[in-house]
Amino acid sequence: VTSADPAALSHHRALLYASRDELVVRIGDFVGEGLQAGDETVLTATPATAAGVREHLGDASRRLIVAHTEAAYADPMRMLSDLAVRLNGRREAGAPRLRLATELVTDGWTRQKTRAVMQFEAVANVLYAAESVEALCAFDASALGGDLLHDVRRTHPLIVEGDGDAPSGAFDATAELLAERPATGPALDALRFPIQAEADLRPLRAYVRAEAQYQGVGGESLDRLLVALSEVALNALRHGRPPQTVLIWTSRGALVCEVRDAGPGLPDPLTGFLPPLGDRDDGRGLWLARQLCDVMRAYPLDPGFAVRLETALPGR
Amino acid sequence: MPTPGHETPARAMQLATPGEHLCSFPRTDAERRRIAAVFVRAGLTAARKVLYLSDHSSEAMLAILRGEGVDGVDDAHRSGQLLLMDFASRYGPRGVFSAESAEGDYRAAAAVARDEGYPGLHIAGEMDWFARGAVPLEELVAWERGCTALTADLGAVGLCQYDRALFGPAACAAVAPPHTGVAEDDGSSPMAVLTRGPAGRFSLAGEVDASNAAALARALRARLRTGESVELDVTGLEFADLAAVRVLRNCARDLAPGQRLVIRKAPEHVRRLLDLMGWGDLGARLEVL
Repeated sequence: VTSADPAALSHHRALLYASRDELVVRIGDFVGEGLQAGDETVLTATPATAAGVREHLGDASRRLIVAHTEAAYADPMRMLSDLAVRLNGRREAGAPRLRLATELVTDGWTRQKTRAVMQFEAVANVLYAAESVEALCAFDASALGGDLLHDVRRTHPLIVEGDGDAPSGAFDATAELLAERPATGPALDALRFPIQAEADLRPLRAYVRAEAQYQGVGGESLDRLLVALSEVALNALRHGRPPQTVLIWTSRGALVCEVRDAGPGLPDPLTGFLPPLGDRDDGRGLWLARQLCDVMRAYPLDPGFAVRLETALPGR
Repeated sequence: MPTPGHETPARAMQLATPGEHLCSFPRTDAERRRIAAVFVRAGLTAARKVLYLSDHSSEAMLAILRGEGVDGVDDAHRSGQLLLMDFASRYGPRGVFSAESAEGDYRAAAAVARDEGYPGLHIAGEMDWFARGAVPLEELVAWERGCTALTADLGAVGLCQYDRALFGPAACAAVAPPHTGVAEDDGSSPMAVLTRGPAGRFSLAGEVDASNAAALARALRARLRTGESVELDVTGLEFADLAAVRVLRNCARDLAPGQRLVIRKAPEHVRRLLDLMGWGDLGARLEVL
C-alpha cells in the first residue's frame, strides 16, 4: 500500500445530511444495497441511528454488523491500525467486499481530535482504494463549520448532498497527511540532548524521565512517552543522518520532545500511520509512537526531519 | 616503565561480550578483589555461568565476593551458577601443566553449562599458579594465545589476573598481547539484571532496549533449549521497548510443545506493546500475568 493516487479508485463518500430522517434513509439505503449484494456490511453509529436504520431495513438488517461510533472514534489512530490489519486479514482469507457506513458525531471535538480523525479519513482513502471498500461517512451539515467542512472535502473524494454524488472538488488526501508541520518551533529555552549511538538511549530516557517528573508527568503516561521517544530516537539513529538531537520543552500545557536528524525523512508520508505488516521492525517506531502519544507530528525541516511527541501535563 | 599491556586496548568488563579474553595486572590484593567482583557480577547479572579459579578455597572466595558487595553470590554458588575452584584441584601440583588437558576441561565445562541452560561461561583465573617459572613464559604466552581462540570458539568471556609483583614487568608485558583487551572497571552498573533463580525462575530488572535485547534473547533461549518452561518475574523492569517485547514474543513463538514462557507482573506499557503488536495472543504458551 502506498499513497500514490488514491483519488482515482477510492469509493469514499461524505454524506452531508440536513435532517435525521435523511441520515437514516441515506444510510439505510447504502447498507441495504450492500447487504443485498452480499457485502460484509458494518454500520458504526449512535444507538439511536442504528435503531432507526434497523427499522428502515426490516428483516434485511439481520446480517448488519453494528458498532458504536463513540467507542470506535475514541482513538482514531488505533482505529486506523485495526482497519489496516482487518483489511489485510480479509484479503488473505478472500473475504467478500467490505461496505462501511459511519455516522460521525463532531460535537465537542478538540483541534487535536479533529486532526486525528481527518488523518484517519485521509489514510483510509488508500486502504479503501486498495481493497475496493465502499465507504459512506455521514456528517451533520449544520454542525460543520468552514474549517471542518473544508477538511471533509479534502479527505473525501465524493460528496453526497441533496440529490446525489458529486466530486468533492477539493480532494487532496495527501495534503491532509502532510499537514503535520506544527505552528510553532521549539521554545528558545528548550533543553538539547544530542544522541550518537544506541547506548545514548538510556541516558536520554533518564534525562527525560527526570524532566517529566519535575513537570508532574508520571505513571503510565510517562512510560508511554519513554517508549515512544526511545523508538523514535532509535529510528533517527538507524535511518536518519547525524547529528541527531532531542529537544525538550513545555508549551501550552504539554511536555514536548522533538527528535531531529539531518536526513531526508520519510520516503512515504504514510509511514507511521499504518502498522507495518509482516515481521519487520522498520517503520514500526513511528507507528508505535503515534499509537502511544497524545499528539505526534512527523515533518520535514529545512534541511532534515523532525518527529514531535506531545504529552499532556496533568491538571492544565 | 610502560604499563603492562599498554598496547592492548582497555576494555570495560561491564561491556565484555562473548569471545572476549581479557587480562588484568593488579598491584594489590584490594585491586585484585575489586576486579574479581566486577567480573563475577557482570557474569551473574547476565544469567551466565561463572567459573572463578584462584588459590582460595570456595568459602574464602565467597567471603571475598560478599565483602566486595556482589549480590546473590551465595544463592548463585548453591545453585551451581557460580563455580569457585582452586588451581590445585584444577591443574594439580604446580609445574605440571598440560595445555591440552586444560583446553579439554574448558570445553567440557562449556558443554555442561550449555546443557544446564546457560547462555555461556564467564571464566576468570588468578594466575598465581603459573608464576615464578612454574610454567615457562613462552609456554604460558602460547597457552594464552590458544585461550583467545578457545574463548571465541566457546562464546565465553575470559579474564586472567596476573599479579604485577608476583610476575614482574617482563612477564606481564609478554602475556598481555595475546589477550583481546586489558580489563577495566568503568564503574557502571548493568543496564539490565537477569537473575537466575531455582527451577526455571528468572527475574529481570532494569531497562531493556535495542542496545541490550540480544543479551536477554541469548539468556532466555539458552534456558528454553533445555526443554523446560521459564517463569520471568519482571517486577523490577523499569523500561522495555519494542525490541525487548519482541524477544519475549519470539521466544514464546519458538517454544516446544508443552513448554511455556510465563511473564509475571508485567508493567502496563509491556502489556500495551504486546497488545498493539497483536502479540498478546500466543495462547497458553506466553502467559502475561
